[in-house]
Amino acid sequence: MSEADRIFDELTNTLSSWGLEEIPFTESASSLGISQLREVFTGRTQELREVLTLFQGRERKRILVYGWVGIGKTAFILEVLSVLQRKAKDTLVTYISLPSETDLATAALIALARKMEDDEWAQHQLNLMGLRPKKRPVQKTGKGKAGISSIGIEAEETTVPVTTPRFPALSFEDLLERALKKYSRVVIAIDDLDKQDPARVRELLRNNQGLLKSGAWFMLTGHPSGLTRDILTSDLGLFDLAIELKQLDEATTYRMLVNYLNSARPKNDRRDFDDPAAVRPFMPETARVLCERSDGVPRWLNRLGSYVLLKAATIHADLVTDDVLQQGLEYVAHQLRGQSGLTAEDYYVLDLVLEKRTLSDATVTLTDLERLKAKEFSEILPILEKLVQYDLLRRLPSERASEYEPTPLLMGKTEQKEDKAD
Amino acid sequence: MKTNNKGNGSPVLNNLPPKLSPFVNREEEIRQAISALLDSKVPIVALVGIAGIGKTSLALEIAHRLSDMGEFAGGIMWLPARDLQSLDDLTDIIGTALGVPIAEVHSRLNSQRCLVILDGLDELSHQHESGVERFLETLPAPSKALVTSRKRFGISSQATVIQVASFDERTAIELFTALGGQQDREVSYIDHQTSAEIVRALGYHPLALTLAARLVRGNYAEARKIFEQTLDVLGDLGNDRERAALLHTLASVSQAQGDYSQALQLYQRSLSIAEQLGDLQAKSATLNNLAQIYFMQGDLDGALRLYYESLALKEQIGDVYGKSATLHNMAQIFVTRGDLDRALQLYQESLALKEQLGDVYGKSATLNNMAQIFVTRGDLDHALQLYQESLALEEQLGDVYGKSATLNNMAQIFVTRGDLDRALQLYQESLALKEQLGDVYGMATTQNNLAAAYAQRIRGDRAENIEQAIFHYQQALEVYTRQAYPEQWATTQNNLANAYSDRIRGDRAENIEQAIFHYQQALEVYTREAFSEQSAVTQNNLANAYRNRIRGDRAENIEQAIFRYQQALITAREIGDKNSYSNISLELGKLYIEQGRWYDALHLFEESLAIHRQGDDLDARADTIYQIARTHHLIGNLAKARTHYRDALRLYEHTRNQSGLALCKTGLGRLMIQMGFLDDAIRELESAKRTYGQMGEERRAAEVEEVLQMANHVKERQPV
Repeated sequence: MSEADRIFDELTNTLSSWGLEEIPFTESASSLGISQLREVFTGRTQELREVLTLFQGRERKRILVYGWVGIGKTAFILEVLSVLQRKAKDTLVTYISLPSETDLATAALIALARKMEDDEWAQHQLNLMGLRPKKRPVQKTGKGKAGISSIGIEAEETTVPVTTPRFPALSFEDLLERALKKYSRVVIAIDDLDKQDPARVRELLRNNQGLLKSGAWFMLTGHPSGLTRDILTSDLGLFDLAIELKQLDEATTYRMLVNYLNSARPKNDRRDFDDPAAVRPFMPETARVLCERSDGVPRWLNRLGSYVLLKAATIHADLVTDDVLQQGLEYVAHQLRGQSGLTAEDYYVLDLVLEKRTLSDATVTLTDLERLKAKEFSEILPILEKLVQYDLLRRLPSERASEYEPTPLLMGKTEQKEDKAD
Repeated sequence: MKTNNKGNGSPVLNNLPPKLSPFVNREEEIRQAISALLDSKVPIVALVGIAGIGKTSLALEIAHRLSDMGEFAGGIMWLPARDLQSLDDLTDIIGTALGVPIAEVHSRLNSQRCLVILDGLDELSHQHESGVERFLETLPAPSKALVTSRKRFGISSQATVIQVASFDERTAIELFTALGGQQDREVSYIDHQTSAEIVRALGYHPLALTLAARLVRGNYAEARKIFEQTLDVLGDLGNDRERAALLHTLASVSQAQGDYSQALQLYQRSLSIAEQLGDLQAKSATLNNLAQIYFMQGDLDGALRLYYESLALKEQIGDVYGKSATLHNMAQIFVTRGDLDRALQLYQESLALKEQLGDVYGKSATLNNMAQIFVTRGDLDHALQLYQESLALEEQLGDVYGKSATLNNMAQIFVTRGDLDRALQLYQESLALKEQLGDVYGMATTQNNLAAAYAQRIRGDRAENIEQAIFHYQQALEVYTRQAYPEQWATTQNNLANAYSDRIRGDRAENIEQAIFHYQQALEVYTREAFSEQSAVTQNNLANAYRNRIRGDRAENIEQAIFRYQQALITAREIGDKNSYSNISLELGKLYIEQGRWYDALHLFEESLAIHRQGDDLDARADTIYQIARTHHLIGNLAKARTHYRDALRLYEHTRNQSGLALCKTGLGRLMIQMGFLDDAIRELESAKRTYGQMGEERRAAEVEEVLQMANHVKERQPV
């Protein structure tokens, strides 16, 4: 047995001593399978009610789901879609994460075409765009033996050069028409708009108004409130419902933790929420600290949980005691800082934010910026946003200014009896 | 046989050809010759000098003078030596001229005072040389002989020899301009400056001047003929020194005409002969001119090399004047290279030598060039000082041309300093002098400068200043025709258009039409391929004009403006002119905003910002950021607008740009109202109002006040 084998076995043993088959935490809900999502999705009752109510109606609706990075927008949408898929009749649902450099109509077109596997024209569209359709489109060319008619003898596949659709909105409308012949409702979710510059999103929406006024249902994700505000307060009348996902309260977070851990346990070993063993290997107290630290942001809960358990496994801890937790929290801060993909410039900015506690376009000085080899706040905004994606910084909800501060994940060890950060 | 009846009243027989005209100052030589001829002790006077120096004309002039004076009553006979076929010819011609048979020629010469003129003694065929020599030696007493020759040798020891030398500069210029036909301005105009240069290049050599003048008149065919003839003659005679000299002077004619390859060839030929002869003087002179050609062709290293050689030779032969000239030329090369220190050094050396020599003219030229260097360095005080010195010398010399140029240069300095009144004064002085000289081209240059100074002038009545500018530009355009001076024509068209564009008097609509017209004119020469930089600027100006145009269809005018801006941008980008690119982007962006094309504007401003981020001009950068903020504000991207306003604000605070600060705070204030942060809004707006008040911008302060009141209103109505 090799060293690697030995280590692997060790880790597996530790995990099973905790009653876990694997570490259940992920960065994004999109890496979960549908059944897993059902297991871990927690809370958002009010929001779900609002959205699902709409779906009881006939008239097509446009829904915007917005909130912080990692607050659970993707999970929410996926959950809604999966409910619709299971329960709603005659409904075609499809999901796509918006690729960069792509407009909304093209994204919608791709999403819809992918779902219409049996529609030749749809598959042809995908092929044209260089996207592999589920089933290969086949151009039948007859090769007959002399004199005999040649239906269906040899099917040849011809490759077609990649082209982007010239009028994606029109193509989409055509496709939609075809879809609506078979289904009474088509729901299209376009995710990750918040990964793009808000001004660009604005432009995208503006340029694709026709799309949003077509006969399909749309669910889009958006930025945190400060940036979405501009879209919402404009009189474009694009959305019928705008749902803000806020931070979960502590109790819900705790329940989410239990759900995650349960999802990694064999079915007969799952526990109720009020069972202290439900959070094993965590102890209820350490579990609570964990939840507090994650500040109601599911992504942070995942990150914390993941790294803390990893640390605990490495030191062969039976339980995540306070001491183990502290080590885990240190480990989190360390790992996050060491994420690959961070450049030297990113670190300069990060360190500045850590030094100043918050960095905002209202209070930053020219001297601060010059340290970062910049002269405008706009120059470092992309870096700040990148750090947000990496869970190192969060953007405060203020609309008065663009304000950033470090996430609790960077805090490391808890101070003794520290004041609650506001 | 003509009879001249002047002076004494007694007729003098002669067969003189008519005087060559124009004849220039040779008074000294004439005096010497006549006094010698009238001296009983002197039987023969010989005029000696190199080819083409004017011996023939001089002899002729002397002969005519004597005839007019009534001297040599027996007859004055003109005999071109080359026409003599035999010795008998000589007596034959004299006999015919005097109207006596050949046998009696001798007794006639003996009894009456006659003058026999033999022109070009050295051209006699060899066989007749001794014969003619004997004739001259045995010339009977009352009669005299006047001979011209290139050689001293072969002339009787009894002869009084008068050396005929080159002209001084003034005389040379006179001859050249007279020959060149300065009256004929249209076709063959050469300005005084160029005349002086040509004359200097030709070493004040009369034949060369004549040739040059012929060339100037376009009479190339004739010039070539003379050239070939002379060269042949010299070749036949084995007269190397003269050949070298002639090649040199003819090379300088080609040089003055801009035919550098021809000049190079001829110089090389002259140089090799001079080398063979070991004639250092000739060699150093040719090296000098060769160096000039290399310089004009852009081969600075080659030129310097030759100058150094020439300099060494001049040291060797002790040619101080030549040294000072060469040092001056070398300095010019270093100026071209940008090595101003070295250039100044060399000018100083040249200046010192010129002092030594008392070469006032050379001094003033060197002082002028030195002053130019100080201007380049920005040391205007020093430059002015040197110009003053130069001016004083030019006064001393009566060098009107030099004075007019120096006054012009001094005026430039005052323009740079912003003292436009003084500048205008000096320009007017310069103009007056140029008019006196008839220097039409120079006048046009000064008119142009004058107009530009008026256009910039702040003092006095602005409207009147612009009128003056327009007037003077139009004056300049009378000389700067498109055919003759396309570049200057185009520049002036552009400037004139600018003036019309700023014009206060007259009908505004008409002024703009004029501006548009003249910009378009300029653009005919300023094509993107040939004059990219100017093309971009003019396109931009034209775009501005279309934007302001009153006549015509508004929409079309805007389209034109946009199109022109875009053209200008393309050009600016092609030539990598970042400054122009961002300036023009700003204008076009503002136009896009006016037209509601917000995203186009944004795109353009962002490109412009990218350029500014690489530069150091924080104000320009802030201006662009402000525009971006404003555009986002209009689009409704309030959060973005806010960030950009604040960025611009930060930079304006750093550069203490009051106007920028006020603009940003006003924008931010408005934004805050829209976002509902009224206290913030009021704070920003009050600060903006204060700033406008301090700047004395009452109107803007009042505008801000209005917004403030609205904000307060909203605040009051808000629920507590």
